[in-house]
Amino acid sequence: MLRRKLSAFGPLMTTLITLTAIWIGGHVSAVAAPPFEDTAQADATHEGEPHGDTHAASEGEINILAAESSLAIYTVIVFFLLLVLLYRFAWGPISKALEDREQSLESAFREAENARAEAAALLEQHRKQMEQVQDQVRQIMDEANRKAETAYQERLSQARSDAEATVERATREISAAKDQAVAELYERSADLAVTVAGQVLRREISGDEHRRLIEVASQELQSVGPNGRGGLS
Amino acid sequence: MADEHNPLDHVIDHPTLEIPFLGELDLPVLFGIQVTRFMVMEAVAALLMLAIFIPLARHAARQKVTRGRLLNVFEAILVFIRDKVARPAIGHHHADQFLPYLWTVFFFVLICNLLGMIPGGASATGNINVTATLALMTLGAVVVAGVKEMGPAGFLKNLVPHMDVPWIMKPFLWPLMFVIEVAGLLIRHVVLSVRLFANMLAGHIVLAVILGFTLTVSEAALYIKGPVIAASVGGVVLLSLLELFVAFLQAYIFTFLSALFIGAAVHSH
Repeated sequence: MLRRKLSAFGPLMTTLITLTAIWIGGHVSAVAAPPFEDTAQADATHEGEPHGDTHAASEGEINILAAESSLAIYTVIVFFLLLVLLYRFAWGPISKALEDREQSLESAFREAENARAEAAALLEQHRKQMEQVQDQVRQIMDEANRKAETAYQERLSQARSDAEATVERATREISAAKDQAVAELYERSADLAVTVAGQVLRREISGDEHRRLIEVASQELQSVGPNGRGGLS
Repeated sequence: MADEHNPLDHVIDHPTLEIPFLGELDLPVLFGIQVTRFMVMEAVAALLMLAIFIPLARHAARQKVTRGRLLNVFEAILVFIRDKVARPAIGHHHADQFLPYLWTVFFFVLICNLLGMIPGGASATGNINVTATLALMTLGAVVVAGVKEMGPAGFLKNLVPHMDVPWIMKPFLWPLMFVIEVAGLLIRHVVLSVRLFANMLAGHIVLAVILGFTLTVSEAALYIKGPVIAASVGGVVLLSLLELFVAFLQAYIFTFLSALFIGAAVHSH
């Protein structure tokens, strides 16, 4: 935008041309530089007779509206040079720097805003993931607890059944041993009874009768059995 | 000395340069043209602007952030003129084209105004020749802006606002309005120059008159001249503060009105 030199320097060219035209077209010393100054002067001054280039201090009468074409032309030249120099060395770079800065600020703000939004989204995502992980951990713990509980119960029941089986076997063995002992006891007591009876009856019973009696007694004993059921009595 | 004092003497151009505590320095005649005090002041203003804004531009181009109170002051004013004066008055696109002119004119007027506030200085803007030239440049900017935007015929046509009258009256009214509007265009710029000139001139005349009281009473008895001098010096101090404000205000007004006139030229009514 600043490269369009015409716009910036147009006014100066116009002014210069106007002033030059006025200069050439009239009395250089007597005519006011800008065209409208004449009217202003005529209205405002009593004498209505402008003096060119008056430095009226010495003459006693001071005309504040005195036209000074040299000052006017000089102003144009100074202003023109100033505008050219500043345009080249100051306004262009400043304008560009200001715009660059505005753009960089704008983009920095936009980036910061984006980064903030992104960070918020990431945080939210992170939070969700944490919640999921916690759920999973809870599930895993629950399952482990359940498995441990079942394993414990299985072990417990197995141990119980083992113990019961052992007890049963022991009971059975004990009763078998008892039966055997009772049978032996019967056998021995029969022998003992026979021996005792024999000694008692030795004199009254013959040998044949003796043997027959023993056989009868042992058959009866066998029919009763080791548990003593049935009846001998 | 007291009798000869004339307040206007302080506001007109002189072929001499006043140097505080040293006296008057006669200015030379160059190429048949007498160098005057205002010419020197304008040159000082121009050199000051170059000395301020070229380093500012270098600094701004080099660094992303402007550091330093002085540089920031000027940069803030530049941005203010761009964002609060030029762009609202002219419109974004056209504003940037005329921004160099507005920046230059603002600071040139401002520094010329302020130079009148320092000892030995003078306000070149208190001279109608200077302000008229500046106003003429604004007129040139207006013409260039209008012609560039709408062409020569379009610019002249655009001067006349739209009239909501029966078609039969238009041929009579339009030329009348055209003459009035052209006169208005010129008068606007005359007033632009006179406003700045009159403000600066009046301010300095008032200061000179009040200070002149001290000269008037300089030979009176002490009990008279003591209070008078105290009052006039105090008044001058207060009015100088006002004048300082006016210096900024008038520079702003000149720039703002220039921007408004340019803006009116580039937009159709």
